[in-house]
Amino acid sequence: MGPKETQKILIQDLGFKKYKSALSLQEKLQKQRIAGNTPDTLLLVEHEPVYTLGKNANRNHLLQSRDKSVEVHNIERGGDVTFHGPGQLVGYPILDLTNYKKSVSWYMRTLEELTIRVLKEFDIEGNRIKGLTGVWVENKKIAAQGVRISRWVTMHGFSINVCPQLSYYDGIIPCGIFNYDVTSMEECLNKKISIKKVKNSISEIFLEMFTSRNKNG
Amino acid sequence: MIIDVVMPKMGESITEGTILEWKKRVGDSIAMDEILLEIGTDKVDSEIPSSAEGVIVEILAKPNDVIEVGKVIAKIDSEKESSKSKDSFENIDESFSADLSKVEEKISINDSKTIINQKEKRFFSPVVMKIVAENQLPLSELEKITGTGRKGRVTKKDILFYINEKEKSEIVIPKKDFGNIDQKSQIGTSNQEEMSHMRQVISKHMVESLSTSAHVYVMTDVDMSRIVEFVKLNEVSFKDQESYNLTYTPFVVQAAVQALLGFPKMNASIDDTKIKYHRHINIGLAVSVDNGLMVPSLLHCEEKNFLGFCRSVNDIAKRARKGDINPDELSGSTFSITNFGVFGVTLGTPIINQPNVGILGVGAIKKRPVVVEDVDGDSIGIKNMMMLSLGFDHRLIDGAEGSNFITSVKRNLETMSLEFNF
Repeated sequence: MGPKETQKILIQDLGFKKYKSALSLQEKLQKQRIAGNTPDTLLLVEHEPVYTLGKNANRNHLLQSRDKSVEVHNIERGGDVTFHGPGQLVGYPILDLTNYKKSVSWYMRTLEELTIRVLKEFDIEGNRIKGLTGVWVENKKIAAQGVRISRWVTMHGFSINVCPQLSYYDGIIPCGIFNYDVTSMEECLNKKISIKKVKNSISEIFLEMFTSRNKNG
Repeated sequence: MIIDVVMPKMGESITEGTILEWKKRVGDSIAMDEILLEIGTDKVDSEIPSSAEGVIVEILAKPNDVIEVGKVIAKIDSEKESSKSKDSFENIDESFSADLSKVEEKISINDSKTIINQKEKRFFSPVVMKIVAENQLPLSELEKITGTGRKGRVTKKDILFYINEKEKSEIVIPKKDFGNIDQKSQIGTSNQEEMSHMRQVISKHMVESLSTSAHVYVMTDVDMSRIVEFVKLNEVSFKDQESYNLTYTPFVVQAAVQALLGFPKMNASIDDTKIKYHRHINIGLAVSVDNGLMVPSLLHCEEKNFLGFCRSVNDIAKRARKGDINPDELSGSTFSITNFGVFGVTLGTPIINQPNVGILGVGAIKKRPVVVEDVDGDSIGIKNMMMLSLGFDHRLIDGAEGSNFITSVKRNLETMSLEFNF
């Protein structure tokens, strides 16, 4: 691949997809990206309800009172326990960070910036909380992040609560953080939001941010 | 050559990383770029490839260890290919071997990989290395041995002497790392388990309370004879009417609420340098539940009469044991009461339920011989006595106030008007 092609970012909307099959697709793409056989890719997806636990998650953060019909997956990503489900938009960037900046902190802060800019388009003011990863609206978490890196190629990524049923979060202590509540874009604006619009906004801003920061660009 | 593997820097402002998993063990050989370990930083797990080829001779950090960037976490011997070839060197005399070799200090390779640190290396003969391997002595220890051979080289005699001494000292002195799992056999830990979520919360709250408040205690005994008599006379009709048992707790709650009305400082919280006086009296009641403790609140106690206390104490204790308490009821207490007397103990020193400034501990009612003062003179009588203990925060309340408060609770109990209709 010539340098021109490496700046290309492929965005794939997977629609609704089971957590497991999206995970194997990510793993496949990460391997191909390491080998240089595929461009940087962003997968956008919604999942069936599922709780996922990172490698150093505390199982006690998955509460006994949770809805036991929801699947639980132990996966290899950073971070504690989280929830995915309908109404939550999940983004999985498979990026080779050597083309941008070889820094996990840079990458995490860039993903936060992405969410904050997307929220702004919907007139929601998102903030960072010092020392914590993710995006908050007035002390309530709206977006979560967890990433795995192999040879500077990323997988897993971020999730933004557009309009999920927030009661699913009662079954866990999200990310092991006791003191913060969870919210959604719908709750912030008190009106229905189209997931499609959020997807479009993410795609646009993601392309703009990462294309402009590509060293080869 | 021994190459140090250090905790890599995964980005600006990242100063440490957590070891998640070693993909290789000591003695394993590793190729350049092969994954050596996984580390966690922030919310990112990363696989770390090796920056050298060789055999792993030492691993210096365990999973879950948090290590500063740049610290050595493992050592790779780049010359050692495998342990097979050592036999052929066995009979070579030490004196034939080459001199100390010096190499440059530090070479840093690609920041995503580990940084290698080649340092001065001492020579050890194959015979010594064989003994080291047989005794599983870490190389770092070998480097510390002072040799008696030519140019300070460690001889076979030196190493055997060192190992012998080490074994002797190990019998006498227990290992240094007391937190280590090696101690298990001496403590006799039969198994270990993760604390439940509730246990962890309790554990955190208790330690935080002790480090927040200046705990002090005053105690007093209360003559409960009149109340015991009253309960005996009325328990049947009470149960008929209310369909649960009449207990002593509502009497204590009522006496405490009356006392709190006269001591607003005991119904307050400290906020930095401010004293917050609470409008309502919300009594946190410690209820023991399966595997733990809950302190749900009886809200707006200043508005309740005796029957109101009976009903709300019964309701909240029952729901707490059923796990049917909503989160709002677990916060908002302004003063707490714990009745460990139900377990038969006489006296206790409870820890303050933050952000309260006082907690009343209620002991068991026991018959005791006491001195009864009468117009005819003193005599010894049998009375139903109960010990009360008050834990309070000396940051806000001094001994005189604490003592006056507990005396007020005592007086309220001993003189309580018992004209309830059941």
